[in-house]
Amino acid sequence: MDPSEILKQTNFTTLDWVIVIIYPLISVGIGLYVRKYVRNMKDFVVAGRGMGLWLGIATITGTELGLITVMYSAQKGFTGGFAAFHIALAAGIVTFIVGITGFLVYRLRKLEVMTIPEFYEKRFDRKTRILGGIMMALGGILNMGLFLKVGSMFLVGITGLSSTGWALPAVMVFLIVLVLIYTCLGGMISVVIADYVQFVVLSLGLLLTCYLAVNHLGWDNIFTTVKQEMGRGGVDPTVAESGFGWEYMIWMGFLGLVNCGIWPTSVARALAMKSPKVVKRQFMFASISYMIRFLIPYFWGICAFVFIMHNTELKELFFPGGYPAPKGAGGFDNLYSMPVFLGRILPAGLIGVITAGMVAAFMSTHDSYLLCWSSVLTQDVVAPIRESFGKTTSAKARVTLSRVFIIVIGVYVLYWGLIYNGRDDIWDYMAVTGAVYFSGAFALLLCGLYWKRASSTGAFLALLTGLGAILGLSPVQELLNVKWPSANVGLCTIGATVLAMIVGSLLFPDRKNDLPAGETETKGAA
Amino acid sequence: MSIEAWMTLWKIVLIGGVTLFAVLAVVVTVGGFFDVIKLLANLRKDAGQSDS
Repeated sequence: MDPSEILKQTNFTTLDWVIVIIYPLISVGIGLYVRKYVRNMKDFVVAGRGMGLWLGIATITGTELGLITVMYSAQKGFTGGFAAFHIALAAGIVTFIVGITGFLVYRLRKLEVMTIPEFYEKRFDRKTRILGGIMMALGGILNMGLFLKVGSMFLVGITGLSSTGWALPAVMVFLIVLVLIYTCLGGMISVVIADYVQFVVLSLGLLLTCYLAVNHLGWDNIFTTVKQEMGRGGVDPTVAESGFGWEYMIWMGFLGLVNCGIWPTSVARALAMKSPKVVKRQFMFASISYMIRFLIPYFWGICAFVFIMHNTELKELFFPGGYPAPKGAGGFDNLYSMPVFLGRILPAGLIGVITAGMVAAFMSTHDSYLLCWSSVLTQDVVAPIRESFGKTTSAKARVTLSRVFIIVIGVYVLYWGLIYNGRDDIWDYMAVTGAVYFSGAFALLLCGLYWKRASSTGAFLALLTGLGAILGLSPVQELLNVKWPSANVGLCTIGATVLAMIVGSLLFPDRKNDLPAGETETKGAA
Repeated sequence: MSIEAWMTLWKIVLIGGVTLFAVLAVVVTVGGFFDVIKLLANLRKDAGQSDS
């Protein structure tokens, strides 16, 4: 059985191609149009700090509801069934609590910093800012290494292009070039407007697709099939057979906090809001988006599973040894399951709109991530290092440098997407790579914002301890000949970073210890 | 919890979540449009001031 022949069976038509090609060009047009408003780094990075509440919610949703999220979440729904819903629920509840309390984000916005490492310098010292910037960029760029490939797999799957020939790399090159052009041109201003357009298109697409999926498969049939095929593990996340368990659920709860309150692309949206009070409202409303960005793609993944289980040809393709798949049975990459499903149930025309929405989601995530990591490298690594040598970096030079970093990171993402050939669970890969940054950042933000005695030595040690998260990566574990669940490694690393922060601060207090803490307390008091 | 109880919970989460999102989508689409206009107007004003 030739997988390419099966993938070709899609409702995607020429009309849909026209829709998909025109849409990104409109985004490029927006980038060109708003370019004239970018006058300094503040405009480029935080859109002049002029975002209203509703635009703030649209842009935070546009960024966090990317195509990569849709793909890895659909994969989780496909493999984990309804039990995966606990991740969505945790994300929504934790974000809502952050919105009510203002935990982390309120104080950060009040300090009027542009990036998290800038806070590190304000609260600790310059070396912490530089190390924090390097760790953030390292974890973040590693984290987005698979974005381009996974996004392109969606396009290949839904359009019926060959999964093995020229199509995948060609689509990857086309998409990354478009993203690089308009991110470089407009900075945050073009990003937030593109995010808004993406929110509108994608919201409609998400809701309509859910309706069509239920209409095609039948509401009861979806639940009955999952129960029959997956058993208790398909609905109950607390049992081991679900592939989750209690440790994993706690880890997901923490990731819910990371996603909204620590992850820099999300925090960047909070820092771009008009005032700290608006930030709290932004997160309260956005908690719905934070839940939905997982919930709906999980549901699509579940629907794809049900669809495939009722289709002999596709079942044979994805589960050649039957279901549940025996060890080493192989099978077609399950990341293709959701796009193949959508390609078969959505009608021509609508499939183009949905795909355009997904391309928008893809571009929206890329622009935000590229902008975030490039500005961190410029603002928090290069500029402070130059300042240490008595050299200043002009506003114009900073914008230019950020644009250079955007292109360099874009080339890396393309390179990594072309050479990477793994079959890992994408969500778990991302959680581990992200933990390289966020486990240290959590300790620094928590203690830096809420504990007067937190010192720069403690902060430095905590950041370095965060590197322990790479032990959760399977290639590293294979190298060390150990097998630890990534959730356990992640939780242990978090505990270790907080411990390093506390012990380091108590043993090596800052000489000017009361000044920054008192200053932070004054500036950042809720 | 029984399997049926879990399934009921996830049905409620799914229907409730999608409904809330549908309402949010309408509100944000309208409110966001006016925010975009305000943002561009402010930036235009700032650009005008710095030119003069």
